[in-house]
Amino acid sequence: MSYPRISATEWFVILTVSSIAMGPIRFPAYLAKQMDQHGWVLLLAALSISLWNTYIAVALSRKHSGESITEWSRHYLGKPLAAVYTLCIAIYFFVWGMLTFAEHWLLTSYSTLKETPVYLIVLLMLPVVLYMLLQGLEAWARLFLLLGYVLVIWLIVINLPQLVNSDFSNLLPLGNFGIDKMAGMNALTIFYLFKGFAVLYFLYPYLKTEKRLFGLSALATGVAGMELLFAFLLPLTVFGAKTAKTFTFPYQESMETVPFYLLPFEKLSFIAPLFFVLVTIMILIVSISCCTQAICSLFPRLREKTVSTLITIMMGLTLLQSLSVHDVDFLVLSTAIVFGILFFLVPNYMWMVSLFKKENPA
Amino acid sequence: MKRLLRVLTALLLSLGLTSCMDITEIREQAFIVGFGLDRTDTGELEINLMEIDMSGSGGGSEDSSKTQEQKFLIRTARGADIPECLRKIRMRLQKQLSLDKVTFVVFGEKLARSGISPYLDFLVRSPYIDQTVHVLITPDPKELLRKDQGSLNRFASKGHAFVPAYIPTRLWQVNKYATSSFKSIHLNRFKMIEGELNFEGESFLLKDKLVTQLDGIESRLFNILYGKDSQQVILYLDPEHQTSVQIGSVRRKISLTPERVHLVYRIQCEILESKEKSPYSNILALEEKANRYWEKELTRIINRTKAKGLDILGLGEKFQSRGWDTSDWEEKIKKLDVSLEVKLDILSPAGKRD
Repeated sequence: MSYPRISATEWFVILTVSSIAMGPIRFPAYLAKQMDQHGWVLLLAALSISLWNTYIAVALSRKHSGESITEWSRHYLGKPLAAVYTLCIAIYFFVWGMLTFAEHWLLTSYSTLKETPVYLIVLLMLPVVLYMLLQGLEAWARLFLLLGYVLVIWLIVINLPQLVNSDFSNLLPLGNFGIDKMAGMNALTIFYLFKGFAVLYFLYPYLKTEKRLFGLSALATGVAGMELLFAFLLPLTVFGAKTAKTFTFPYQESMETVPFYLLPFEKLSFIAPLFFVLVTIMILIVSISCCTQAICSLFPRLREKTVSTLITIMMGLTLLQSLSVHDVDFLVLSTAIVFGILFFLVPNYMWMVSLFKKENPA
Repeated sequence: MKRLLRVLTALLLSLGLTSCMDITEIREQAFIVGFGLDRTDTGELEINLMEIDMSGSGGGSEDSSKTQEQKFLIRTARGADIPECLRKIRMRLQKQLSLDKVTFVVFGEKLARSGISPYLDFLVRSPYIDQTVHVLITPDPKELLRKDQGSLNRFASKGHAFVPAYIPTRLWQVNKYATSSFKSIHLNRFKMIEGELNFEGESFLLKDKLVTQLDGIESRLFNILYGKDSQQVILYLDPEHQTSVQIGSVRRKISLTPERVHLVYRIQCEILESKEKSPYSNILALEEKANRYWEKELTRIINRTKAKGLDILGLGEKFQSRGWDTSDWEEKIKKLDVSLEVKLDILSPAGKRD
């Protein structure tokens, strides 16, 4: 039986999309409210930490090539604790998928589909997700690659025209760069952004090549970082911090300031929810896939396709409950704390142990 | 088993057909293209909505070469606020109001003098109203909309791009500056004169209250002061209006200190018409005379607006970005020393005369 394999380019797209996720939707509003025009400092801090975590993920995965985190974590945590850790990871990925859809639905129900019930979108989206999961890793990785080219063009089209209305003096004065506001809850938000590296722990065994893996992963995270910087900076440069923080979706509002008279849809902001539909489908595929792998490593007798189907159905049922902006913000903060423990503290601990651990002679 | 799964999947997906349940027929919708807001003598809000008249366009025409001129209806309501007025109109028409086709919002001068902020909130919050709609001002919105035959809608949609002196003010810009004294936003003033839409000039708001207006020539000079959207603007080089020029480009340089602001404008233009013989033969003298005249006129506009606490150049924003003291900016701008210099460059003629 041959192992499914994904190429370096496919991994690049998977990581970029997973790192962008729904960050551009609610985060600009939160950052503007908490840190005025200095939120970009927090973004850069989050990016730096993510790059470090990517290095850790590559180093640990290389050390245990052929295994996923749920398997090699036993060497560091022991079997019982590793089982608990794996279960937490499975739940985390499930919640991540759910939260991604909820955030996307917040934007879509406000901007485009005001009269549409959520169950309709769930019914239309989840069969696509399930179909791709059942086709296997290679199939959905190829889908990501195909959509990746479209997403690159999309990102350029939705960001660059906004520069026409931008005034970068709105980011001044620099002052103390908002350092005093970075403590407390704001610091936790660092762990909400750029989560894509966590997927490497599950997909590493399937990569065709390990060559320049860290460089490629760092580049992908950097691209995601640029998009998030745009998502935060553009509304600020267009509206100023005082006005930008009154909006629920500042990035969407700054797109609203750019009309395209020559094009049939006339508004740049029209294509943004479409972009995020694709991102949502891709994140759902990734999160359910990782959740499935985690569950199957705990219960090896279960078939992957059966587990994927069950998780997708469970996801569908949870998505029928629409969440408010406050619910989403609360979940974002909670999952940021959990993510910090699961994918920052624990892997860093495991990496430090691996530096000092001697190999047992055979 | 597989057959059963297929049947179940088909049944489940058929729930997706429910998207047609909430459809609203086109005849049950009123398509609004413009808002007119003003205050009555009793202090009530008066809304005038410009609605596309759909009654003449039913059935369609097989003759595609005949263009049917679009007609508009004006719907008026009075109330305490915008939602109440819209509710009254909706009840009267028994139709759903479609606001996503709105291209302009025009405020009456009476309402603008008391402040437009209370009415901006609805316009900005509404997910249906485009944030790029043009915000305009007129003495009497009701009269303007009644006399208008769709020219405002055409102007706001695409026509404004062909009017050189017009600097658009969009809803998102008004929202940004309505609570800020660091830059005074302008609203473009329109009137219907003999059945034609006339752009009269700019009216300036101190935060959200109308304070002063510029007339036709002054508003063209404002384009120069603004430093943008000044191409093809036509101005006179002298107070006697002997020579008219068309602006090619304007470059503005601002030098700032906390006590003083100095503006330098480098302007390139071409002579369109001159009552002088051979104006290009003594071009240097002409340029020097024009420099002094424009410096005097531009300074007059700045001083007049500054005296009312208006910051038409956005100097407060520049002070704020440098971390300088901008407290009580409306009073500070009155005392701020603003000087300017004009360096005109009249280009060689492309036409037949010298």
